[in-house]
Amino acid sequence: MERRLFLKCLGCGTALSALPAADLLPGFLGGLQNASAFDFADELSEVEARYYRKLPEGGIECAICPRRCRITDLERGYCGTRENRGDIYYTLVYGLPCSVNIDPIEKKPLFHFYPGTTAFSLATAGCNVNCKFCQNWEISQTRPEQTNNIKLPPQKIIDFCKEHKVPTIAYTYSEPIVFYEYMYDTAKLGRAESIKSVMITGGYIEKEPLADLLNQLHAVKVDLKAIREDYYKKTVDGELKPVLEALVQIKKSGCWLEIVYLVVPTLNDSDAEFTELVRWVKANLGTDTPVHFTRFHPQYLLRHLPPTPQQTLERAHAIGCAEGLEYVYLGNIPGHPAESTYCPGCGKVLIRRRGYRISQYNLQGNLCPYCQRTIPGIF
Amino acid sequence: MKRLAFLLGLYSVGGQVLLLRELISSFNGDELFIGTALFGWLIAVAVGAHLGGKGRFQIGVRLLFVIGAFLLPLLVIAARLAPLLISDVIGEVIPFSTAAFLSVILMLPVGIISGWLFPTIARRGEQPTDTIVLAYLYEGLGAFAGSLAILLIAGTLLSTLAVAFILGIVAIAGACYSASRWKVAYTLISLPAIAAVILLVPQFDLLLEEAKFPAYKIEESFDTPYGHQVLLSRDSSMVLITDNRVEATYPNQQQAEELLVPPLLYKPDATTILVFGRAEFSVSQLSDSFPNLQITAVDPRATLSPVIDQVVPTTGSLRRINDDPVSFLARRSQEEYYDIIILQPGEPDTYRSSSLLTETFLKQLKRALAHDGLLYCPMNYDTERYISLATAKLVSVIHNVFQGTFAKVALWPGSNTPFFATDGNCLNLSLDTLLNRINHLGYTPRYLSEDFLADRLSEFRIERLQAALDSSATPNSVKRPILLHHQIAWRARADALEAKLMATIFRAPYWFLAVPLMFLAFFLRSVVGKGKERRFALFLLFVAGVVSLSLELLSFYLYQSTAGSLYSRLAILIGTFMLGLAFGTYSSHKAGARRVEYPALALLLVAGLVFLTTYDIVPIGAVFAYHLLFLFVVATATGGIFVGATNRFYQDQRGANRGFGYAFEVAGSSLGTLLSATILLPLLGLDWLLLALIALVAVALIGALLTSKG
Repeated sequence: MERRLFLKCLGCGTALSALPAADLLPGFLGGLQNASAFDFADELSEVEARYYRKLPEGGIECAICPRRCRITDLERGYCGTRENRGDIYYTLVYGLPCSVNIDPIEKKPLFHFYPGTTAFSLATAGCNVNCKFCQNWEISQTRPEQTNNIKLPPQKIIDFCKEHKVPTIAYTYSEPIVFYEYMYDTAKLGRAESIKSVMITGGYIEKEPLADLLNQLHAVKVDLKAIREDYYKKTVDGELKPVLEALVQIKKSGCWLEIVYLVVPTLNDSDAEFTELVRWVKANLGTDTPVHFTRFHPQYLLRHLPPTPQQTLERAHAIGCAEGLEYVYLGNIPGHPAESTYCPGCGKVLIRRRGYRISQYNLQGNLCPYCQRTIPGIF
Repeated sequence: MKRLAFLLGLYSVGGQVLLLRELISSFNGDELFIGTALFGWLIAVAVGAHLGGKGRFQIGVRLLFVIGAFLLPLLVIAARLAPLLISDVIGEVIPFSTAAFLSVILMLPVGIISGWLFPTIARRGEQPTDTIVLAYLYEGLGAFAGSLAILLIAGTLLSTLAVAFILGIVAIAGACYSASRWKVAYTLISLPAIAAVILLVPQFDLLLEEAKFPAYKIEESFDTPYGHQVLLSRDSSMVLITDNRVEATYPNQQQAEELLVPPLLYKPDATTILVFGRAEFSVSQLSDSFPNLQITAVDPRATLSPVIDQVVPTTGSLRRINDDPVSFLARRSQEEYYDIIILQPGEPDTYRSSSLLTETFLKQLKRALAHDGLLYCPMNYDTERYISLATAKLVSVIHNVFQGTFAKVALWPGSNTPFFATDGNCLNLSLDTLLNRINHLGYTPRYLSEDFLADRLSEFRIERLQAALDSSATPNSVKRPILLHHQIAWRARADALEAKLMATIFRAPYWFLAVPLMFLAFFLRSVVGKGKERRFALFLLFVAGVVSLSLELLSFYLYQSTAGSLYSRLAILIGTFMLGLAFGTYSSHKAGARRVEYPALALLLVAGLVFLTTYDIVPIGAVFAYHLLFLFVVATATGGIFVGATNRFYQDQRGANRGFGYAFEVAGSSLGTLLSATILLPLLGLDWLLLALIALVAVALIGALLTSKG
């Protein structure tokens, strides 16, 4: 029953007509109703992973993320999605997402990337960090055999997007780096068919796999969890330095980059941290890199913290603007003026947002219609 | 000896209640946590009693009381600061396994001292039988006085820590009082010491709060009978903390909208709204935007209202009723009906909250709904992007409870999952109509705007949620409160060790077979061979412990689920039990008859059978008296069994360990605490559990007859 209905509902898109993207993407809406059904997978995949090396003493070392897990036979890495089988390293989640949705691109959030469009969003189980505030912990902190996975090979996603004119695929929710091969192949196929790919990531990835991946992606949103190493160690179970290096690498590659900073009350919300963050962004990524300060909502292991007060976010916004960042946004406070895009030259509203809805779109291509300033992004 | 035994009862029950209160508050303890912590306490008492009864470990009574007096407040402070020792990430949930382990450790010292004191005091008389029974009797009386005093004072007049200090002073003074020439000196020292505690400890409490919430300004910190409250402020935002968990924040427009806007979309003509919980932090924030709404809020914490009024502006349309949801509905005026009732059970990981999600409660609640009225119940389960099997199970169980009571039930997917239930037609609306109504509310929602709602209620998400529902899932009920286990298992997934532990306990309860096997082995070993009469006394004491504490906890559970606030009546209920225990002990000992365990066991058997056949047919007005009577009878029988078993075990055994029998009874109690109301009730259901306990008493009676010398 569950299976049948899910298959059915995966192909349903009638209610999507109510999405804000409806105004901007009329061709997309009608088509989803006859979408092809997908099937659930009974087994995990066995596709060889791309980045690993065999160790002389036996076992392998995973080279996809800075964690560099050393894995003996029949063991898995930290992420739980990659397994050493006879010193060959396999990804177990290739073509097996457990969560599939069609989301407004603003929900990612990406504000300078085809505003008002939608993205076919997918995730597999697993993650290479363990953020105590994770919104998607039921997927990210789970092994793939514990989730219901859909058989969805790359070609099927592309066919689906083409058929229903979904312009973008978003690799999101959990950490896409753990399903790197699946993401890479899908993005490559999509590029050939003019379907864009965006990665929503924590940025905890090694240089080489990131460099290869950036050739296939069109935009990356990085969750920069904090600007202090200590926070990464205690609250994320990761490291800050590789994330900062990844941010610089993404920016240099020319791939569109936006940053989200989740403001967690008392843990990363001091003025000093906000200042440190925006100064680092300014110095290393440039003032034109959008930074979103978003509101925390109690989740997962941090359920005993309150949501972020609006005033805290406004503090962050004020510091960002005062330090010279040109695109500072506030997230999860729908209706706040800082959700909209303003021209840094003349200060006029270019894109007025309220939640996922775009109520005013004044950009002409990449140009401000009032002062002709070029606005960075892919519009 | 009598005075010291009385003091022991006072100290022991005080230590247990105060430490447990503090631990529940620090770790946000649920039923399983309470059961485990109490189990740890009782095991510590049993170990202490056994060790204290051994001749080679003799420590003076006064020294034990002095050590205990200093340890208690220190352990209360340790319990309060324990979360900081475990995690340096503020606001982090402490896994059950860690919290339970730490609780057992923190309860251990005072528990061992309490247990150790019993044989040390009982050793003061010549005849073991008489002195043990007398010590038990006066300990019971002391516990009765202590439980009444502490439950009336702690959380109402004084903080837990202040009461712990005072109890320490009383213990030292009481233990040393017998040295006659120092009587005046003790009194003179004790009284100013108590006055100093009353004056200084509130400041110390605040310092401890500042250590716990370093980034916040502490506006208020106080106890209510329902838990520990702290009001914090930061960045123009107020945070209400209840037992270390964020209960609400102000201002919080999202919280207010999530509570008020969804039911109003289905019932835009509603004028009367009943809210269970603190409306000041939720719907009341929007009452200026809905001037026609008359909001009634029900919350039992009366002392919270004036504190909230100082920091949160309230509007005139809010009517506050200080009552428990269950008792409020039972006593409600029959002319009062509401268009919308908003129920906020929170996480159903306690029987108190999960009893709000039973047909029994919902049927009461339905009687308060106006014609075509709507019940709205938001639950904190994320069903937006993915629905895990554990979430699906919980949502299904709750859905089936609503479906058992209401003709129509709807639920929304999202980062929380609200349920709507009615017997009318207000839920028969299309998405378009709902979206259209947003624009005619007279208020423009930010978090439930048209675009957000359209995304949230897309056919895709609605159908995924519908597909996840399992109509065959056993609904939660008073007779089988299954929701508690599902909720604990759901939460356990956040920690690998806890997940394995809970899966073993709840999902594959084969360990459960070990319980009857253990009783059988114990029984068989007790009824055969030489010295069986004496050996069977230990079985009797063990069974008395298991059955009496199980029945006591089940009575508390039923009272809370059917008649209302347990907290406000807990002192009287516990006091009655202690009084029954003292009465049973005294009357059985006074009677001087042999084989007093026979009538006592028969009484327990009859009490169990009557309870099993009548608990669900008692009129609501008589429930309190019914449970008082039941507890008194059970305790009286337990006292009789204790006397009978003590006579059997210590007859002509002057040199025997005088803590041994007591240790067996306490060990039985610990097993009853850990298993009965906590784990077996949801697994077996109330009727089967009661039957099992009755069968155990019957077996004990048969064994007593078989092992009698004649």
